[in-house]
Amino acid sequence: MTTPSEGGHVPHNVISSGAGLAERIADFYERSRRVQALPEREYDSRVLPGKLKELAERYDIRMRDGEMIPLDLAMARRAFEAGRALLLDVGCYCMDTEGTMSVSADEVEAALAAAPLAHTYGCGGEAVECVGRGVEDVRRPLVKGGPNGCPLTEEHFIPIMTSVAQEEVDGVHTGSLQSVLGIPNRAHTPIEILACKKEALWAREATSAAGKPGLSILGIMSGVTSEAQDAGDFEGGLRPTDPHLVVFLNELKFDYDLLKKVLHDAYLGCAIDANVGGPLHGGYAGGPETAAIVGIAEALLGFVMCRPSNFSWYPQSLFTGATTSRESLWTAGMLLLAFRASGHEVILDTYVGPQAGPWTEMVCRETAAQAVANTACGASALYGSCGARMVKTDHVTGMEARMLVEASRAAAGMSLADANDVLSRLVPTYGEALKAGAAPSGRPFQECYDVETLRPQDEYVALWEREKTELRTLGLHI
Amino acid sequence: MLDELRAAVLAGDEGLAAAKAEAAVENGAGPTAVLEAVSASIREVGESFQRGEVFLPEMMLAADAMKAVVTALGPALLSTGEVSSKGRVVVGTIQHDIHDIGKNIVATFLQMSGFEVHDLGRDVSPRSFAEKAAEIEADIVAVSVLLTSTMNDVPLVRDELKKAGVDGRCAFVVGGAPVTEQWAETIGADGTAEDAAGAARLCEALRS
Repeated sequence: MTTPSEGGHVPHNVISSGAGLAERIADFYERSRRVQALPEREYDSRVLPGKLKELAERYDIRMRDGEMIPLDLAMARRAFEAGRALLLDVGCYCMDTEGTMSVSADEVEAALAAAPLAHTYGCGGEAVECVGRGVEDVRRPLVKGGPNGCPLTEEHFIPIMTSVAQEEVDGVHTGSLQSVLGIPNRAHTPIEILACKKEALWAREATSAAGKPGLSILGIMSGVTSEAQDAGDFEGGLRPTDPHLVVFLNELKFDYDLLKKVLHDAYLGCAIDANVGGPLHGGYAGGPETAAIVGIAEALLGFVMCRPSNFSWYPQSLFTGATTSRESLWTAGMLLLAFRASGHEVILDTYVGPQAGPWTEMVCRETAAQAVANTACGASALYGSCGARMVKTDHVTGMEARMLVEASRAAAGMSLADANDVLSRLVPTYGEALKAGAAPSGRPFQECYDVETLRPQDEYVALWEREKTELRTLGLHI
Repeated sequence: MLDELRAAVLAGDEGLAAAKAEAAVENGAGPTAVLEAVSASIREVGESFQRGEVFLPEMMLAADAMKAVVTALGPALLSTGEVSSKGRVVVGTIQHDIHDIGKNIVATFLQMSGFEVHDLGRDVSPRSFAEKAAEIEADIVAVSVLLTSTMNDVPLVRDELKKAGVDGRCAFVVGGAPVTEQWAETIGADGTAEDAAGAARLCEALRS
């Protein structure tokens, strides 16, 4: 468990710290009705990319030869300023009213001042305090293990979540139920609501089955609407101490569903995990440098609009469908370092999404690489790991969470330079397969585990142990 | 002149590309040759994107520039009788799904491959797909989906195409992260592809 930071702990209660929340959300709504009209295609293809290129040049943000993660803290400080400038200059895009809405410097400053430096997730014996870790921090990041939203069958939902919860994780991240009572899950139907309720209920059953009833649960993933996701909040389902995911859209976009969810969660006093499914390298965000700039702006927007307990990124690549390429590792590193080097020890998390799936050498290496990169750069918590591009049904197990826990623990306290050295040797071992989209998707849960005992197959455990030996030769003390 | 045209397309400058194309024709270049020059540039952009050397915005702008050239050269191209669209495609993301990056990449590749693309955007109802297909006499309807909970609405598109009476003459293809060949077959789709370049090849094959 991560130890609480000494001093500077700001107890976070969304209701009390969110004084004026109703007025703020109403204000965002009113402002969104007076946006500067702009076709979305124009925003995506010209306005945002044009500004990003200009800022990358002006602030001299460059991925240098030999860097797997950024090593220049002065550049990281400039990247923070570039991200802030992007948000203040362009604002954010409202998808409902199809235009850009401005955000003021005062709003950004107030949001950062209000952002907690520590937050307690979960309850009872499983309550853990998550802190805004620093660069090269000796404290390990928390791990919220599990499917990261990948599709799960109802048959294997509880066994998979139990397999994760029984590892040394600090919380679990749920998956998306494909059906309930044999009925396919369909958006905007009663089954979607039911799926969200079952997701929460069954995740709680899984943590209890693992002997950890208070373990925090990150969700809800089985519904697309705020109404469905809110259905996970009930007696026996999600608790206020569980992180409630609120998702911005690529890039620097929001919609009314997001504002509705923030209102719902805040009035229940729930922890809010503000998130973007990006920044997406290769997409509207462009290259690794510009992706970092827009990702910083997205986090600032998240703090402004949601007043969350934490912000999380899913810094993936359009080309690999994963978070573990050199470009994505560099971008994630810059996202974290930009805040840390600028003195903002807010809670910042990252998703770990390898291209390879369970029971493969490559998933071990991709998971270890991101654990090393993000831990050294100051991530507060890591989510997953969930491989197979997060799209293959039931292709996630507790073993990948184990990898994330052990690798991030080993990486805690590493210098940026040492982490970069390890990554310089590790990433090339899978880089070509990743680039070619040739990663093996691995095996589903029911092949990786004995579904009766919920123990991993010996061969899978042995594979990870062999890979740990290999990681040691690459310089990771695991 | 053609070099300047190619540069304008690569830069994604619609106005300049159209002007250079018109000027090239006025100066004696054949409209088919002009279009071929633009197509070569577009193929270059698509290949660079697949190598990860250029990104989605540049590709979208280049595709828009190509569209501007085709519009500008429209009458001249028609008069040659040599050039025609590869077909009309209706594209969109299925209803309740607001993810459209994958759909935009596919639409751009189709556009760059010479298809006439009618992009309905995101969160598109099955009926809207069918109505548009009937209206423009589409050759292909391409449906994108990202979420498993919205996948189950995709087969409804085929139902609506049948109701609209266009099912027989209009192919139905699907794509997106959760889509597999097996699933596509199960719902009666005419095909799927793993990526945007594959989607363009699939549509070309369906039209050949």
